[in-house]
Amino acid sequence: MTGEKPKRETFRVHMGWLHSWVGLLAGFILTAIFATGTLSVFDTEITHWMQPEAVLTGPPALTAHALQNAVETLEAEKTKGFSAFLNLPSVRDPFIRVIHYDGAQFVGAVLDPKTGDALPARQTAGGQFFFDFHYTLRSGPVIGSTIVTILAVCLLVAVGAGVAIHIRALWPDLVLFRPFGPRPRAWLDAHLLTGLLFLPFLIMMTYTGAVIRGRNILPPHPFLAAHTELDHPRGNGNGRRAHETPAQQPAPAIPPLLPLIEQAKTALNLPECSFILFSDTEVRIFGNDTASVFMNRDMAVFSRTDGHFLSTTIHREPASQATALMHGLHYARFPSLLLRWLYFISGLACTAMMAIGLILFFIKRRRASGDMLTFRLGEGLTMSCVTGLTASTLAFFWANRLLPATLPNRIHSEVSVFFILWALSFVHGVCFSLCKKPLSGWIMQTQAVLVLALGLPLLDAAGQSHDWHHNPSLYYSVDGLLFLTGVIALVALKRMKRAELS
Amino acid sequence: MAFLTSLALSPGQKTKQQQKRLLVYKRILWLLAASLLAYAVCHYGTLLALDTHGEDNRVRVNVIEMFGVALLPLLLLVGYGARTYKWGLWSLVVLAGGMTLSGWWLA
Repeated sequence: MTGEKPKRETFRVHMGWLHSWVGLLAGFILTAIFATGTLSVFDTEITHWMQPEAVLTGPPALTAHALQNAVETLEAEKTKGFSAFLNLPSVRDPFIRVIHYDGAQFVGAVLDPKTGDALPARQTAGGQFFFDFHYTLRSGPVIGSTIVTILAVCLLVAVGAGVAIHIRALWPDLVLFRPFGPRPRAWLDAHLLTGLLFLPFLIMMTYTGAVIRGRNILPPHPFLAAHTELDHPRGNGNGRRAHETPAQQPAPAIPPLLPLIEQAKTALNLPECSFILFSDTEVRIFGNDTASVFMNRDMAVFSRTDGHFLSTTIHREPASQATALMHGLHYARFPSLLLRWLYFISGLACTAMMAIGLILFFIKRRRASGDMLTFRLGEGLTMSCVTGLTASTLAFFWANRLLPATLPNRIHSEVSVFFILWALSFVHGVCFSLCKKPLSGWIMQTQAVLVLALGLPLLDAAGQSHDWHHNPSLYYSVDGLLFLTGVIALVALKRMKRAELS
Repeated sequence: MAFLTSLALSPGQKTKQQQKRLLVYKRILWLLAASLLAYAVCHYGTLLALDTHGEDNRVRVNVIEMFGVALLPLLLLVGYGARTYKWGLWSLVVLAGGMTLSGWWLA
């Protein structure tokens, strides 16, 4: 025995260990999930930025002719084997979109809501890429979203443990920030400040996110399937559901949609409808998600054969409303522009809090475990999760502008740029960390972020890819955010260079 | 690397390192046990809250899952965090056992 007293196993020590390790192991992916989730708040706007050719000359008034053209496009998609649906124009996205799920995200043609003509918009992964990555990690809706849900529970555990550690000093933590203090102290202050200020948002988003896909992680309920069948006795005795017709019989032509949309608006008592799904026997028109914080997904069902009204599904029971509230709060389709910006800023703060937590983990353990291989790998991984992810996100935007608009399989190329750069940043980070030069690695990656962030508005202006008078707030906002990213990278760079010299 | 470092350590330091490692293993085991028991409590709680012969399970299960997802991290924290006072895991064992028994009783 050394004669030293072992550290007392107190409640705070237990919680500290839990917070550190669960936070670290889950934090690598959670940082990326939160970052992409934050960008998804403006997914539609990002898609608009990435499709500068899609410009409307007049107000987005939906016409019967346009809908007829959309149906023809939809039928053409069906012959290619895609099960497409129609996204109707809204204030936020004034186009008709004929979209299908390609196994990773929703993609498809953009149509003018007045004429129904296909707009010459480039194929892009757009904001949908961030949304899809956020909840499936590009691993499909089952495996990916299960992993994300488990990680959300891990985050709730880490948050609970973090609160338990700091419960006695909540108020000092809330008001104390010493950015020019010694390194671990400054990082810890920043971690605590962001964590505490945005704690309600963090818990709300993490909990609602976990609830949305909660069924993936909880055991299957044995009574559920039987009662689902019981509630919807659609079977016609030959093992096929009533709405399914034999494969050899072609589905009837889709009836004119504009009268159905008007009828659906009246039946659902909503000002707008958002999308239309088609089965072989039914046309289902869904109400708009933006109408309220309760994301109810009310729908009106019409016969596909002759367009006559069949039924409405309106969820107003307390249990359904509770679920709808969880969905509404997480998807954030209801808020005004101001509230969306608040979501965005809060998301950024939570991402920063997690990234700082990762950095802090390695700062605190450098002296004791700095020589360990796992430490070096972890540090490289942290680098790729913080600066590497930022750089690859910026590279994704660069790819959108640099790749030819007519490039075949363009979406795949855009996404590949993102992942290749992210992988490279990991390799780069690990190499520098293994060579015991992590600071040099951080500096180089931050330089890459600086160049990519400040260069993108210049590239955008030089390429003249869009008319600056059309939707100027979009382009100015993106450029403003890129400038801000550049400034943050510059400040960080200066401080790191000073640390490298000292 | 860790092996080479351990060779260079004095016996006293080795014992300290072994103690530290043992402590970490214990913590991991405790955390695993807490996770499993918390999960079992959520599972049995969900089954107990469902009405076996009811028609409204489709709606009811959504709400129950909401509670389940909220309970999971809380129970895990209780199970792991209360190990200082040695009652964390016991409380989860009692909860899971109680729910299983009442499930059988009700069935």
